[in-house]
Amino acid sequence: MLMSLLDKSSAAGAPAHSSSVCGDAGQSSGFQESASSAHAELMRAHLASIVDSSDDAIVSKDLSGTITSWNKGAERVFGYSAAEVIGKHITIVIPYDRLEEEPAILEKLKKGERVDHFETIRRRKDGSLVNISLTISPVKNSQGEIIGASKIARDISERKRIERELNEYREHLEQLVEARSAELAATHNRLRSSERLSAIGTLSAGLGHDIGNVMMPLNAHISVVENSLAGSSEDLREHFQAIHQSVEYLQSLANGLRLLAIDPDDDLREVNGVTNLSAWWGEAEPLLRTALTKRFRLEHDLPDDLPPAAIPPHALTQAVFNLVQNAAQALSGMKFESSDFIGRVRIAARQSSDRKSLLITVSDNGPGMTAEVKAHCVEPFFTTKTRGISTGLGLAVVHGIVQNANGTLDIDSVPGNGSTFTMIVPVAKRLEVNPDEAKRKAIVDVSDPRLRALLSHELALLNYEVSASSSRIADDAVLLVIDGAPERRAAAAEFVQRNQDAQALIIGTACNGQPLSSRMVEVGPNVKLEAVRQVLRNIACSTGTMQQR
Amino acid sequence: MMSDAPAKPIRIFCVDDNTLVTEALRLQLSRTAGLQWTGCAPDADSLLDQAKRECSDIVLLDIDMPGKNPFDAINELTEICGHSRVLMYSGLLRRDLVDRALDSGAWGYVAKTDGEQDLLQAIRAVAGGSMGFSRSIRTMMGEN
Repeated sequence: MLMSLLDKSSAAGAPAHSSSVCGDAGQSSGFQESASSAHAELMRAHLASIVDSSDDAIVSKDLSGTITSWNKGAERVFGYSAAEVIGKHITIVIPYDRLEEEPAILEKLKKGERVDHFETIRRRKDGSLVNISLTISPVKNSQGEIIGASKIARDISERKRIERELNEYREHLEQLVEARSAELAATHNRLRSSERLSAIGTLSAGLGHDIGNVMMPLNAHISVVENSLAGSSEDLREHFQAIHQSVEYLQSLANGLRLLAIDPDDDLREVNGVTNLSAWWGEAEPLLRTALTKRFRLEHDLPDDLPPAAIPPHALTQAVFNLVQNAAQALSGMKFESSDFIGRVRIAARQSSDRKSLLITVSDNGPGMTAEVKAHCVEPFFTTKTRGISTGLGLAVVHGIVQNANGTLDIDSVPGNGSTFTMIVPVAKRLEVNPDEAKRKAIVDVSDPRLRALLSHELALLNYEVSASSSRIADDAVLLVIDGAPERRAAAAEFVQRNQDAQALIIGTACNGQPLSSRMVEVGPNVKLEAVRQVLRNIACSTGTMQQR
Repeated sequence: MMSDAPAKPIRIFCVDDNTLVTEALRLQLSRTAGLQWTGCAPDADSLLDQAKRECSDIVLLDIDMPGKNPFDAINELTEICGHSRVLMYSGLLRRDLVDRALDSGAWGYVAKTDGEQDLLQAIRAVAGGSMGFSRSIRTMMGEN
């Protein structure tokens, strides 16, 4: 119905060939015909108005594709007015890359078939593209012959935009899920690794502790026997020497095992997390040696004057143990070109040029790594070795430990030229004796003998020459520590008044490092040792006895 | 410094749940001049019971033991035996434990792994009115 109507409609949808409603009113059949014609005309006008007011573009064309009608909706969707396009070919609104659609559509129409909800893209007058949904129906004349087609085009740009946005959201969501799943898997792996490490650490520490417990009585009994047989024979002395050496080795091994313990209370920022490398080497070396067969040498270069590293001893042991193990495995796999080859694992440390970091290296003269292995070697569970021999965690553990210490891990390796792993860890902040300052005197006039001993000990660590005598306050003393009733403050006040450089610490009834004056501080009697230490450190730094490095 | 050091032998009591350790300590300390072995207990509760009967000058106190928390026992012991001085004797080398011991009233800390000479030096230092630490503990605390 719509098609036939459109076929006769004007450019704006009005009837092109309207019949006159005027006729011969005297002829009843003519009247009836005329009435019927008027009714039909009214219907056409009504329908034409519906078409015209539709938001959808409603267009008709003939079988050659020439546009024959174009409603207001079409003007809105495509930007062309009816006058501009009627008589033009429909391809005026088809983008070049979709021109092949038209012959296919016409072919279907000629067969009397409809095209329903065909989603495609058309071009507006301004060249922009518009997403549309097309419904195309053949238009027949009164004889039933197909003479053209009507197209209803609905602008689906908004729907497409929403669909596109939804797709983008979906894809983003999928990416998020994928990323989160990967993170979850990585966290799971890390947890498994850390559980294993924690278990190994606990087991090792327990073993070290228990061996240590047995070593002590073993040593005691050996000494008793040795003393009772003293001087009996040279042979016996040699035997005892051998036993002592073995026990010492076992003891150092136990100490090394203890260094593998992961203490859950450890805080890397605390002084617990500081390692003096030469002292550490003394304890860790026997354990590290166990990772190497006798064919390989363990060498070290850890100068005594290096500052402490801001990494806990057990963490450093774990990292170095893993690196030595790694080197040992690399060396074991080598086919030696000559029997003179000696596998070497070298542990060295030096300070960075800006003196802020320590570079702790573990290097070997093994086969080195290919670029690919080097790129992946710190990933958890990456291993070039057979499962069972390696957990695939070694270098990942090292990487994690170094990261925890706010450091970085550098790897330098070339196939055929060995590998060097460099852990770059910060130098620990520390108090040092000021070399320009001579030892200065402190007096600890505290009645409680244990507190007096403890304060004297702490002050000696801060490079004070401590006198516990209260009988005479030396004139050259720079620090007085007293306890007791508030009235004793007078003694402290007199002391600081007498000597302009002097300071006083009062273990009193008030609390927590309250400065009574710029040179008198009071702490409570039950304050924790660490708080007292901090007050003493501050005093030592302010008087130049110690300096922060 | 030595003004409050006892003129008579230093009386030593030891608390450790490992009998191998207590027996070895008895062997070492009972044959050392200037020391007097007064016995041992397997836990801190037994130490306090013993303290009600007899006080010693120095108590070597292990940490990792069943029963009463040894840190709590230090204060209770001092209430019973005012002059007893506690020296921690442990295989655990942890700075936080050393600090906790000192905050709880201990006079020092000796690592079991540090040998007889370190133990004897620490005992004599404490008896003489100073703090007593063995070499591992001193290293850990930042002393050289």
